[in-house]
Amino acid sequence: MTDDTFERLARAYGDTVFRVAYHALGSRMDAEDVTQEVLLKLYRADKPFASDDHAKHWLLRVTVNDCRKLLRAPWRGRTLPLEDFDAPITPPEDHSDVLAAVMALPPKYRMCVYLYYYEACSVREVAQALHAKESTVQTWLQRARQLLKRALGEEKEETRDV
Amino acid sequence: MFDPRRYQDACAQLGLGRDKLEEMIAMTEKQPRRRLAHPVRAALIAAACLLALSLTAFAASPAGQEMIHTLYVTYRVVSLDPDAPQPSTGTVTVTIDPATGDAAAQDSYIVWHEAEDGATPTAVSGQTGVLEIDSDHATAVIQGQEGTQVQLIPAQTGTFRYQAAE
Repeated sequence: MTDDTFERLARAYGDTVFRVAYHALGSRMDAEDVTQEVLLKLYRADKPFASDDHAKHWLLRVTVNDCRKLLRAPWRGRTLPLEDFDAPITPPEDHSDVLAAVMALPPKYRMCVYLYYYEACSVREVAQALHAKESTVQTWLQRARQLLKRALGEEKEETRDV
Repeated sequence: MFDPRRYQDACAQLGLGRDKLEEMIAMTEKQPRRRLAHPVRAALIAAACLLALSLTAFAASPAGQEMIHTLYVTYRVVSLDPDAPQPSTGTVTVTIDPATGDAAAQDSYIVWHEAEDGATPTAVSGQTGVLEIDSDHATAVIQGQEGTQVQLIPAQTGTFRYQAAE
């Protein structure tokens, strides 16, 4: 891969990689680390991509794999990056409730929701990226919607009470 | 109720930021393109382990112990105060090194050897860099120039001492 191709793909999909990692890990610092790692893998990838879409799906799969590796790390769960106390991601105020509700879901549901609703991946593409069956992805999406409905409904109730 | 459009708007504003992304791209491009393939890495690790095992085995052998002893004594002789006693058995190499401070300022050094009982002088012989040997008193005068290396061979176990020659 030439430097020009790498730069073009990195600029086009850098934020996508970051958002997937952020949805998987829930931490800005970890998401940045994974993004850097994925960009390095893209830089070193010696296979040509048939199209930008091919490159995007390759990046999604690599990002999901790297996030899984990090989530499985034995030290994870016992430590929390210090920076997360200082610089949490602050979503735009008018949408903070919906993003917070998604981020409160279990990681596999979060990634599912992100890939399906934001990246507009089909159920099949989500299943490929997450190494799951299509039926499993459909179940995850259904459960995620139920949880979101409950969470956002309760939030509205609380707002009304105040 | 989950509104996909509001969620999409929120996600659209999540990102690295242009500066951060450019910084990451620049950092990535500084890295070497190719890493060693897995089989090569495994072979290198195996070779390193084998080398470590060989060194351990060599260190346990008499030849290895003698070499380590020589190195150790050389280091000690150069690094320590000239008046401090230096332990030695067998062959000892004395190295003059200007990094040890005043050592380089001297033209020559007197090195002598004391037997363990402190009374019996032992014979000393030398090779390159030895200016003068007094076998009766077990002393040698050696050059104080940078890089001089002298081998002094005491006849029996004892202690080396050295000081600047007057």
